Amino acid sequence: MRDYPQNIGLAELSDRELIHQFREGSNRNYAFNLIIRKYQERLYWHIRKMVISHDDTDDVLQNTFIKAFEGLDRFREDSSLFTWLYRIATNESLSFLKKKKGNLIQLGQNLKHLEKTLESDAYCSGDEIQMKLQKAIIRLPRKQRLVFNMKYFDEMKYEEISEILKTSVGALKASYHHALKKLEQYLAED
Amino acid sequence: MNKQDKIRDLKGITGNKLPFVVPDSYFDDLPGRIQERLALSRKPHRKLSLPAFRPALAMAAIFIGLIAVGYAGFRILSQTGDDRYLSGEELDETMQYIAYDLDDDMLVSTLIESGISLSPPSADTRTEEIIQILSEEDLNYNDLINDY
Repeated sequence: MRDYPQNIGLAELSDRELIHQFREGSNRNYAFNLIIRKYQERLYWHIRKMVISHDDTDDVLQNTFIKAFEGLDRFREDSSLFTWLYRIATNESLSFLKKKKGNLIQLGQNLKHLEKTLESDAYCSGDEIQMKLQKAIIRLPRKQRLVFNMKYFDEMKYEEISEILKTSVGALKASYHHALKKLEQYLAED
Repeated sequence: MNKQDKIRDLKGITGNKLPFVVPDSYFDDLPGRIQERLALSRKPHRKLSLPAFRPALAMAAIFIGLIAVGYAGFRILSQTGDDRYLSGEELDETMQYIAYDLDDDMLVSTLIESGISLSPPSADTRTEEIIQILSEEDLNYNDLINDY
C-alpha cells in the first residue's frame, strides 16, 4: 500500500528529485506518473501542432513517454528534463510525419492529408483566422514549421530551441525568417 | 510594415490560440493508459525453445507416420478400392445368404442348368470291359474260386 503523506511529498519534488526517485526503484512508477502529469499538456500541444490529428498526437505522445521511461536511467542530466522530453517528442513527431509521408507515396498527398484532418477531425475547431493560419503553417517544410511553432506559439527563446533541436541560433533565426516570408505569401494568396 | 510585423498583427487577433480541442478527461486518463502500456511491455515473453520442443515434435511425427502406414496397409489388404474383390465382411454375408436361401431342389436345378456333369470320374477302358463280361456271362463263381 502506498504511503499517502510520502506521495504528497513526492508530488512536490523537483525534476532532479523525481529522477532520483525514479532511479532508486521504490517509487519508480509513481515518480514517472508525476513526470507524465507535469509535462503531458505541454508536450501534447507541441506534438499536436505538428501532426494535427488528435488520435495521431495521442499515439506519438504515448510513444514519447514510453521512450522516456526506457531511457530515463541513462539520462545524463546535461539539459533539463523538460528539454530532454521535448527533444524526444520532437523526434517522435518528425519520425511519425516521415513515416506518414512514406505511406502517402505521391508528393503533395501529405499536405492534402493534413488539410483534410484540419477540416474534418472531430477535435479541430477554431475561428476562420485560426484555421487560415494553420492551413498556411502546414504548407511549410517540417523543420520550418517546427521552429515557427516553437517561436510563435510556445514563445521559446532561440537558445532554448537551439538546445532542443541541436541547431545553431543563427540557423534557427534564418529558418524562422523564411517561415514568416512563406506564411505571408500563403496568407496573401488566400 | 515588414513581414514580421504582419504576423505579429495576426497574433494580436488570434493570440496563441490553436483551433484544436481534446476529448474530455483526456489528460486525467493519459497517465493510466501509459502505465498500462508499460506494464504490458514489461511482461516477460515466453520464448518457444526449439531444442526443448524437438522431442515432442519427433514423437508426434512418429505417431502420425505409424497411423499413415497402418491405414495404407489396411486399404491395400482389404482391397476396398477394387470392385472385383469381396471384402471379408461381404463374403461372409454372401455365404450366409447361400446357406439360408438355397434348398436342395434349387441347388440340383442350378447344377443341371449349369451343365456340370454329376458322374464320378470314369474308370479306364480295360476295367469297363471286364465289368461288362462279368455282368453278361453266366459264370459259376464257385468254380472260379475253386480253380484259383
